[in-house]
Amino acid sequence: MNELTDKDRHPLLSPQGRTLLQSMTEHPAAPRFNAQCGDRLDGEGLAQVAGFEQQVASSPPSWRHGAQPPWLAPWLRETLPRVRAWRDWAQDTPLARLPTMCRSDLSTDISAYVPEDLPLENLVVHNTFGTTGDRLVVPWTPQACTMYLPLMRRALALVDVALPELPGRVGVLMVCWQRETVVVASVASYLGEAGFLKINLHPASWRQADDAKEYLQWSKPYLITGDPLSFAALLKLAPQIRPAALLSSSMHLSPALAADLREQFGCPVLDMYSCNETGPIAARDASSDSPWALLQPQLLVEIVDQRGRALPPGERGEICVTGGFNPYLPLLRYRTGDHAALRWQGSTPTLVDLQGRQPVLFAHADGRAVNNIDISVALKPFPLARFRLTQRADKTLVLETDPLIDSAELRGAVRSVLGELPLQIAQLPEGGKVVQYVQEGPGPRA
Amino acid sequence: MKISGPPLEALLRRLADTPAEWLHPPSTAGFEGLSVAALLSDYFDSLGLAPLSEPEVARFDAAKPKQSGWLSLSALILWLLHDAHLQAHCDEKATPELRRVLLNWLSGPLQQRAAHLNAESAVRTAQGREELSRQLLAGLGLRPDGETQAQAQARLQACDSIERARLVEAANAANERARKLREAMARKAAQEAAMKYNRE
Repeated sequence: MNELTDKDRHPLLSPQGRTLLQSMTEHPAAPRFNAQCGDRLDGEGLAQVAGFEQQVASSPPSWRHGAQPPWLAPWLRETLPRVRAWRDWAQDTPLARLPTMCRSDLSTDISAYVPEDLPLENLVVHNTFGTTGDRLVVPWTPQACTMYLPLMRRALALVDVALPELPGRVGVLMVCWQRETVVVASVASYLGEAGFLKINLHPASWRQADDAKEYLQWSKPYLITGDPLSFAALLKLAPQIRPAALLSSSMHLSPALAADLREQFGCPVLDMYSCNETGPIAARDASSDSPWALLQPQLLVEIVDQRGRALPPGERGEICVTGGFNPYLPLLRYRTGDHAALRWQGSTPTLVDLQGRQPVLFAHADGRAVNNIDISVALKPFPLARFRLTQRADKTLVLETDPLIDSAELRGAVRSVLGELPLQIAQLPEGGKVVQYVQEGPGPRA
Repeated sequence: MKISGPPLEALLRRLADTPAEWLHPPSTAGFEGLSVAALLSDYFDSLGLAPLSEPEVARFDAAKPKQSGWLSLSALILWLLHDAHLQAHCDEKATPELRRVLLNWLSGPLQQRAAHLNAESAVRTAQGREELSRQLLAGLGLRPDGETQAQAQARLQACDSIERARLVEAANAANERARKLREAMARKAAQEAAMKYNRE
């Protein structure tokens, strides 16, 4: 492993930032931090993010149905020749005639989609364990990772919440609820060296039973991000904190949970639609039925049918995106696997009837609930192109894998997460994308 | 390739029947062998065109030894030009422009092709015979009798050794880039990533 230094992680870290970092990591109730992470931004990187923020502010998504945004044609001209999978397409080919792509295309050979003229020294990688589709490792840049912040700012503006520079305090706290995940403290130079915490509410992540609550109350985070399962755990923990907003992503957030969160924490709750392959796409106030506002200045959203044909406004289909802000993964008609319809307000497109990925809870042999992400993590060491885990109503398990791997190690991995349940392993039938997690029974209570 | 030329089969047959003396080693600087310059000059003369000038002669017969592959291909081209159909065509079009076109084509495109196609293959293999015949016709602005322009263009590309070499080179470059990307991603996966601020 190539170890990074503190200077690599935080090229711009000031004495004040270091003090905050120490106070977050050395607090008596701090969780068991198990990793280090920084934004890796130098002055040039910060300037690039600031440039992107200006673009986000000055060029909100805008095009009329049937027309194309003005950035698209130059983008196609510049991008198609640089990407092996698209090089043979004429640069003036109408978008509708270009092929769609999906997650399995990327997991099969991502190198065909990474522009060939980019240096490889600067990339970072992020793993993704979607509840649907194939496991995927996506190349990003540190700058593009921080570009999430301007997009989150745009999302927060929907509920009239600002995301200012917050030196000396915890600006963003990401909550997780998993058996095992990275737990880290850092500072975000783009937010004036505000603190960033990623914590795991799972009891195994803390030294004492009350530590999680105490630490949350000490940290007084300005913004809390997480997924619905983590927020449900946060709700149960009931720390006495008043963040400016909660931002949920990754899975479908039920209106009931959103209402409970809003009531308990006294702040707006945002639901954000975001994938590792695309970054944040859209957001809305979770307590309303309002349409989802698109966030990225250069991301064309289409709704397509199974054959990749664009559907008219109001008709539900698969969300398909072109463009993006990750230089290592430009997207051309990328099918996200999620479904919605487009609706226009003047020349502003919005998403309606969005159905994101549903969280799937499995029942452990002893009856407690298990997050499907824990199963993804346990299966990570196995070279499975695709898999599907089904829990039947009687709690027995069927794991279908591609390729077929029926080993003691694989059985052990499943057992380590779900306990001693009868497990059948079988070959996953040929085909494309599959739903990875299926709960046929009522499932456990979270 | 707007003009319909001779049937391709006649040229293929002629190449397959190339007399051995046309495949003798060509004259180059410091080596006296088959004089391509003499053959070419005689050919122009037979068309009533100006024979080769001294500098033009030197371009062929005083070529470097490493250019002998090109000269051997040039000799084969001259053998093909004596095909009855082509001879009739060139008789009819015998102008200084034809002379200039031929000289330029021999010195330019054919010389580049010699890096990918040798005279032995151009005579002994079906693919080589078709490539050289089609390239000559295209160089003269002709297409094989009975083919449409699109068909002729498609076949010309399909049996183009330069294009094949380019595709192989492109595939190798893509494989190399993919290997480097895989290695870089594996290396970076072992490292910590940069922060992201929300769940996905």
